[in-house]
Amino acid sequence: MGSEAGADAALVQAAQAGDARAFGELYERYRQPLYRYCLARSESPHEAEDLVSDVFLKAMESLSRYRDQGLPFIAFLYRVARNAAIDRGRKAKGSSLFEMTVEPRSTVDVEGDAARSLEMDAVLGAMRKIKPEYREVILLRFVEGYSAADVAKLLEKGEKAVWNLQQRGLERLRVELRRTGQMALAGAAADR
Amino acid sequence: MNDDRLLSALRRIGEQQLPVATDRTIRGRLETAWTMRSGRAAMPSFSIRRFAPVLAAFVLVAGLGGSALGASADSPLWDTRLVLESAGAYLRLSAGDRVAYLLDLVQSRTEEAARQEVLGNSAAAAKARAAASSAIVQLGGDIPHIETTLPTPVVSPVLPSASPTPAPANSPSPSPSQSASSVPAAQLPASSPPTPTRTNAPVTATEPPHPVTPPPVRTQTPVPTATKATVTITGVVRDSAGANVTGACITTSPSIPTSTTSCITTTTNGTYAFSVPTTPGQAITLYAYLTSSTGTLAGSSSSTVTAPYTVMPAMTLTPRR
Repeated sequence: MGSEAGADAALVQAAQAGDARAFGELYERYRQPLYRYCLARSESPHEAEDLVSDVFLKAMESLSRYRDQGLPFIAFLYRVARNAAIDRGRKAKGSSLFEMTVEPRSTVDVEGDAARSLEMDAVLGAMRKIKPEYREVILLRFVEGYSAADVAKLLEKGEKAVWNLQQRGLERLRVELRRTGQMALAGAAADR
Repeated sequence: MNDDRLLSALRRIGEQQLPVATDRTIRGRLETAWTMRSGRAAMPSFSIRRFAPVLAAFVLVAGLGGSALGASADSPLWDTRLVLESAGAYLRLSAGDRVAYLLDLVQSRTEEAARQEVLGNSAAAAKARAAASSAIVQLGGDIPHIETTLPTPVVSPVLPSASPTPAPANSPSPSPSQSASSVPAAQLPASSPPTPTRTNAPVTATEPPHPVTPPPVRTQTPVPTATKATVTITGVVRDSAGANVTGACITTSPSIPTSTTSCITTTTNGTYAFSVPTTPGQAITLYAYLTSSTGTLAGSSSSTVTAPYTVMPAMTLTPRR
């Protein structure tokens, strides 16, 4: 992660100096993980796509204020995405993020992509309902494959805190899957 | 859902990809935003009083952006189009994309120049040519550019002789506005000395140095010139699937080269470019060869040399028996 952060810092510096290609490279590097991050926070893939666009535009706007803290640029993008998702949520529902994320949703978008498996949809749906801090840790650990130490750096938390969030997050995920009836897919007996 | 299934479902989320169409749309938005941002950054700091006109200008630029991209060289939006197009090049993420984009620009600007020429708008044509030249200059940073003094790869037998052969289609009329471009060694009218008398009359060594002579009086009977110019020749080589080919040997020889020394250059990301002193108006045929363990692929394309650059039609490689 150190070298990734170093390379990002160079690209950010170049982009701050007006090098469009450097910003393009940052987009190239992080559009996919950011999309998955947004996917787990959005009601639908379509909304996630809009969010990705918003995030990069906001990142571009705030590029001049960006200060390198030795973290990969994606940490900054996640932060921007978090705020952008909150803004969107407020606009859309006028409710708090907590309400948005904890309140059970009646539908999960499964029509958009026929190739997506039911299980993955179910997990994505459950991910959208758990607390953001759980979701982020689970996403970074199990979807993006970062180590616990790296996740701790990315989220500026202690490793132990990450570990706790991970355990609680997985637990909440199981609860959500049970609650939304998606457990029929897997068999509740397997839950711990 | 047991942990294994849960974790594997999570990993499947990791395989989700931003749809290509959306990706393209986002890139477009970012390009536009970057252009606007650059414009803003280039502006001097402004006071509140100045804010309104600045904003109005940006709104205008944003509003006209779409139409500017289709502006012709005689349109007042031409310069805006150039700015937007040039900015677009910088957001092409891979070298291949960038080169392809710039080649498109060269092509479209060249066509625009030809169109304006036909319409009799020589000033607009010169602007379009100059714009194409600057696209070539931008290309120069990305593609292998070989300054060569090889014997001209021109194979056309229609070298202008003293006979009144048809004038070259795109003979670079000495339009002074072309000097606005920054193409190295390609600005024929600007850099050539003002004595382009191409009669073969031997210059006597004893001829005293003239005071600065007035520009030569143009005769009414233009004779095709054989003046050589350094021409940048560029093009694209693709395989039969349409993918850009790297490492293809570019040569003027119709036979398969026996060594890489016979190549003028080789392709990178499907693109090649080299400069050669040659005579505009001549026909040229280039061949591309790619040899692998499975055999040799070959392709060719022909065009007429135009200065300061010549964009060859794309070559598609097919198996060579």
